[in-house]
Amino acid sequence: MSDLLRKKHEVWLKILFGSFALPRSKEAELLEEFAKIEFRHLKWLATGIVENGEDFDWDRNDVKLEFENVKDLYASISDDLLALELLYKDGALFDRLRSDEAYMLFKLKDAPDIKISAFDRHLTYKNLDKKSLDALVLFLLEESYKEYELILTYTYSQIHSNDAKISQVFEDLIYESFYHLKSFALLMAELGILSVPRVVMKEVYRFDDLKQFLLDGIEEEKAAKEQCRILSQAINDEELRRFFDFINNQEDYHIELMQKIIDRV
Amino acid sequence: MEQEIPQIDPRYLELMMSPTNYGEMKEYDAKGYGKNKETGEMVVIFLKIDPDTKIIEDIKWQTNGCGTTLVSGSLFSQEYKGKSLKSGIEFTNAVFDKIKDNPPPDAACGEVVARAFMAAVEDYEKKDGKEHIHYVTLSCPVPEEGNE
Repeated sequence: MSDLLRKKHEVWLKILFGSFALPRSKEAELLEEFAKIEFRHLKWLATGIVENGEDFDWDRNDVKLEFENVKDLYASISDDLLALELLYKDGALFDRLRSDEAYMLFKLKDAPDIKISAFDRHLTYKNLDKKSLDALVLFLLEESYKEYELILTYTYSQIHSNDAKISQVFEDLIYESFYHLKSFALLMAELGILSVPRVVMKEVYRFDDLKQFLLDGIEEEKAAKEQCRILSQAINDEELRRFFDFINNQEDYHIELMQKIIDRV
Repeated sequence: MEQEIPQIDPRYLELMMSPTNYGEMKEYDAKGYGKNKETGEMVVIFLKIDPDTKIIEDIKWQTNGCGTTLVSGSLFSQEYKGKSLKSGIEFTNAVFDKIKDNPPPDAACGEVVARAFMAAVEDYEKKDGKEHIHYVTLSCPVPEEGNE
């Protein structure tokens, strides 16, 4: 099962970051919806492992995505989906997985003739000066990893939680991190530096003390807020400034949400 | 005072996006952790060592840290791989001497990797089945609200 979970994880990331690599279009939207479906598959498989009294991890191989056109991206995703099918067993869950992916394979047959520039390192964004650009690039590389790390950590905690209220708060935090990840990844694609974040080490999400993890998480949120504020001041672009102030202000409510969990622990 | 934003070297950009020797090792001869209590940043290093020659045949490492840690981990792991354990220790001691003069964030991010290597060496020498953690001694300033 762990081999299947790893492959699922890799496919989810390939489709998700593939969707971010495409110019905004109906194709990008469709891929993003497919990625959401793959993430649900991943959660269902991981939940099944825990319900069987075992544990799972978020280990996987690197996911390389440097495709130059949509046709190659679609072909690579299709190959991965076909390989996944060989790992499926019998039962309602696997029937659902097969059915979803049969539809995905059908839709991925028609690849539009679109070039991808999300990986070409052109490193330009509107008229940003070099200093603003460096600040933006550093922030995006670090914070896109951090949001991915949070999605995995909150999902791992949610799957291991038996408290409905706590689970609901984790769900909210996961949604929020998905939005931040998407926002940062789209900016990375515009700069030509889109990449799938590195593997998250087990020690990050397998913790003994939920309360301490959340207290540390609150400190991290405060640091992230500060990074947003510093970036907002360093960047000479009104639209980006407003965006990073908006993200900064969202972090305030994350702290409230985490405090809600602490109060229940 | 305005916050200093470091300029990005294109070589380091690639290492931040795709760090060298990054990952987990399932069957290792030594494993060590470097941790920074102030920031929560940590590095784990796995070593595969030839029992006769003491050559570091393979190295893998992982971190939850920042871009500077990714660059340090990539460069240090390239330096360690294929060298003897003794050379690795000498290199690490030279790193401890040099990084004291670096700006605080760079120094602490380099130190956390070097500490993880020394913890792995301790694990290899003691073989006591315990978790070996070495802590960062240099300070990495965490940005505080309103403190520019």
